[in-house]
Amino acid sequence: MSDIPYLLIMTVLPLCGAVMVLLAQDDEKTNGRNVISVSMLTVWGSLVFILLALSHVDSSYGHMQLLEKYVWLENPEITLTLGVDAFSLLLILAVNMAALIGMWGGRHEKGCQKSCMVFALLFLSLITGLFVAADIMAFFIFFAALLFPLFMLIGVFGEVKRRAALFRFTFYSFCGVLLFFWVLVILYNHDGANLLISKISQLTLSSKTEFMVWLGIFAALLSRIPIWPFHGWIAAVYVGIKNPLIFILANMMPLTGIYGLMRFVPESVPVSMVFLATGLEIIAVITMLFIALIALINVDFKFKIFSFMMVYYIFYLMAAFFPTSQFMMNVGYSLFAFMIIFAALEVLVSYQEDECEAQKLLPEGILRLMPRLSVVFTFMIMAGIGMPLSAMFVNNFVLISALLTYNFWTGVCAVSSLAVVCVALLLEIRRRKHEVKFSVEQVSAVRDLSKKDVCFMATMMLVLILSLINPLWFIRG
Amino acid sequence: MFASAVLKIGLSGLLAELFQKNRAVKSWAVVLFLALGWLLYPVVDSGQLFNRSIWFFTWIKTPVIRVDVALRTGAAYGPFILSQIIVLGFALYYNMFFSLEKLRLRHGGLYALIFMLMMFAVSAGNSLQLLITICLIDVLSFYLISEASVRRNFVFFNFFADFLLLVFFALVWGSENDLHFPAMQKFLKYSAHREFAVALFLTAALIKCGCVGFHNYLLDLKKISFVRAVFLFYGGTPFLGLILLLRCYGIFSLFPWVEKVVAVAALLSILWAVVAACLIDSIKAKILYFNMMVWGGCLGILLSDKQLFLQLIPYITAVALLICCVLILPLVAAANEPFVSKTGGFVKSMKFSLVVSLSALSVLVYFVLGLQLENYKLYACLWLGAAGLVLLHYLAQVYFGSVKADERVWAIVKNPNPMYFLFILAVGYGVVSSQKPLFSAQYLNLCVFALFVPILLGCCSAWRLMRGGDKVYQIESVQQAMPALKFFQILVVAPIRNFGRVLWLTVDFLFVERFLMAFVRRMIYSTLKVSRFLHHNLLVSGVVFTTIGLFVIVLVFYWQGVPVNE
Repeated sequence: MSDIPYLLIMTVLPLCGAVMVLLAQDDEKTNGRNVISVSMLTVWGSLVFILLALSHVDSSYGHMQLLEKYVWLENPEITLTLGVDAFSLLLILAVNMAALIGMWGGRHEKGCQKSCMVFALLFLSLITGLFVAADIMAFFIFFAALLFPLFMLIGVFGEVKRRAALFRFTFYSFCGVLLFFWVLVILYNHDGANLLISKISQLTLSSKTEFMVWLGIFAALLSRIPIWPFHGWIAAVYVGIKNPLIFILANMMPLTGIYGLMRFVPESVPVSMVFLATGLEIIAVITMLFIALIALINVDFKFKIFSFMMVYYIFYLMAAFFPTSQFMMNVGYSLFAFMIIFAALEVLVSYQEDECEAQKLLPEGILRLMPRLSVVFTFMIMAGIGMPLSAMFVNNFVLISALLTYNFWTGVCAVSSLAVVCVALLLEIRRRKHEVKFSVEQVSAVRDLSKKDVCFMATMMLVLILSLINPLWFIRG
Repeated sequence: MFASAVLKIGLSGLLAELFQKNRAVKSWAVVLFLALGWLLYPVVDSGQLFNRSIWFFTWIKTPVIRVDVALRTGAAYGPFILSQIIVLGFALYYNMFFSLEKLRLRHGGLYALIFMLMMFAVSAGNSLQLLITICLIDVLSFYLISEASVRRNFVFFNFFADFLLLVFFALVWGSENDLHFPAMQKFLKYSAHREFAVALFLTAALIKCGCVGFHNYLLDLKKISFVRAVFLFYGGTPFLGLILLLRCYGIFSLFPWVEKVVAVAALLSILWAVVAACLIDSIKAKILYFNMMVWGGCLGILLSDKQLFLQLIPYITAVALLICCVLILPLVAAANEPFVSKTGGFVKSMKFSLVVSLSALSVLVYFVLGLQLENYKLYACLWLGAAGLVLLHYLAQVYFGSVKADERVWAIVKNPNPMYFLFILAVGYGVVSSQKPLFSAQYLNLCVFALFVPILLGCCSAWRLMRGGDKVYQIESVQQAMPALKFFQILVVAPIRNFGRVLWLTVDFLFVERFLMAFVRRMIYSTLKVSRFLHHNLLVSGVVFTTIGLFVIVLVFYWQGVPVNE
């Protein structure tokens, strides 16, 4: 147990920030600046605590560290345990940095700024809680609670046009929550107490019960990941979101499913899980190929970013089924860089689309009028497709190698999907830099990134390059 | 000392890129050139490049993977380093005064950074160091190219090659758990997927070398300036292709078909380059096709004798740059007139340039005929003949052809700035004077050539077939044709896209949306309808719910058994 409750602070701090945002002055004079400042300061504060927690965590030690126990209920006695390892802290860091980028990028978005930030900070608090949950009850609480701010963000502030798709998506996610609740009840009844996640695989269950438990866990966690055949209308929801912050936060939901599978799935696979794991592998490969190929033919860049995210998420998901957990840190490092790249891309694309809308321009050739944005955009795309500009390069090399060794043809399909989705992104550079004739008035009216924006993005680029040069600089061990 | 010089050059390059912008561009160019000389001359002069030394540090050390990064010198590395120094010297020298390059595009800093990365690529002792430097050089080369259309092909071809290399090295490492190149031998002998892996590697290497079929992204460089195009050819991707083949040389002995494929690729590249160089009007394209011929020749030497190739690479680079520099003289003199068909009769104003060009040609002949290639002399002579044909054809048209230049060009055409000749003369002298330990003294060859060349030149200019070839310059479809690119578009890109469309339409739309989701929607709708009916009709709902309740009771008793009171 640690003396300073880092994990509790990390979880509660965004919640406090949400309260501060509610109390912040927001009128025509401040024009949302107070709200943004408080929100960003909250996230910066969280980052400080995350880095402090990382300095106390030993990355070579595979078990949960910095354990904190809190009594929730006395009758029945339910104690919630929080704990982290380097992997989950990396994910929390990545999520917070992505949210920071989203807040920076969405700071000029008009309408309902305050309430949007409140729900965004609430979402951040709950997702942090999910990553620090060490027992099944705590995991379930945050797993279920995440739906509420997500639904509010997407439904109220996301400007999603296909409302039916949104309700279906929420219903589908809620079914996952119900399945998880079912599993929780079975396990609580079996053991009589709240179980640590790492102990679930050690339980002696009858074969029927074991099958139901693992099926429930699989199905519940998969409900967060847009696997085939549900990828279509999940894409319709995510891709329809205009606000970059909400798009970024919404696209963190699959991460919860992947994290859950990496936590729950044991190294030695129970017999009942073997066919589930095989089935999941097949579906994962099909989903990757589908999404990648559709991204290639789709001209909507938001869809391409969504596809890029999903293909990589499923690639990382496959790492959950390796027979050894030694690659978890590689997934963590890669995800860390990946989240920053994805968030930056979304913010940059949003900026371009706003300018195109304001100046009534097509996106073809728009980067020619925005040289600063062009440099940053190109860097992020290059880093995203796997060039050695971030921690993604070396760690993806390790993961691809492990995947090819584990199952050669699955690896080939996965790598092909990655290649196709990367080509889809590269095509965007070509399209947006294509020479198009603009009128003099249009050229002079287009606004490039401001110096502040460039400094901010340059900081993110520096973080990515540092993560390539020395990915272990903020971790002990 | 070598390592610190390389790192300092890289740092100078970075500073130049960060601070230069459009300020004092020429001064930065001079400073960089002087810095290159000051840092590297002591290293070259002392012969350090060929003495064995290593500077390394451990970059990544985790339980899963360990990566060391090294800079090396020695007999196996010195020739490569020397050739790259020559290329960097060429680029930084021309950067100072090449008037046809816009000031804002004189990226001396990028040249220096690419050179630094190339040193790491040459010194790579493990696959990850090589792969990372290849990818970073591709990224910097991308920034060096200013034209969007040129970048497009460059990035797609190189990204594809880099991905193939990533998968190949990942396969090797996953199998052997060792990043070093000797581990590859075991993988290539015993792995179940070795043929697949070798096919990936070979494709990547041929793309990087710019062999025929994959050469379009290099030929596109004709749209950018001469200095950048030639630098990218000799200091960029194709050079990396040769390094790849050298580092994985064991593949040739284990898989004889690979050697045949590379030999055929080299031969086809040379043949294609010869034909295209004669047919294409653009001067820069002709230069790039000549480079393609040089690279085909390099592949041939590499296949025949690896050690000889190592010794020759600096000379090949120097001679090739020499020829490129003389070929560009008419374009510079004619104020960037890019087409041969708009030149002709330049001998009246550019006699000195002609003499220098013929002298450079004689150095090429001297060099090739002097090579000690006992079993391959015939191939060398054939290559020389083809190169001579291309070069003399070009010179004949430009200097002795009928005047087709417009008045503006004719008024300004004259011998270029003496600085252009300084490099040519220095390199020419360097090649001739340094050959003695390596080659047999073939002064007779020089005399024979001195007599032979004017005769051949006269024949070329009078030859009807050559004049007839001028008519090809007017055919737009021949000049713009990119058959290799069309091949990829039709046979690779289009099928993948159409497959994606078919999948989306049949599976996603028809099956998932229209059938599966529609089925789920109908089920939900039906359930809601039944539920509404039940809740509205009191009698029916009463009967149904009572029946369900009784059924549940029976089920529970059947499952758990009837409780017995004792």
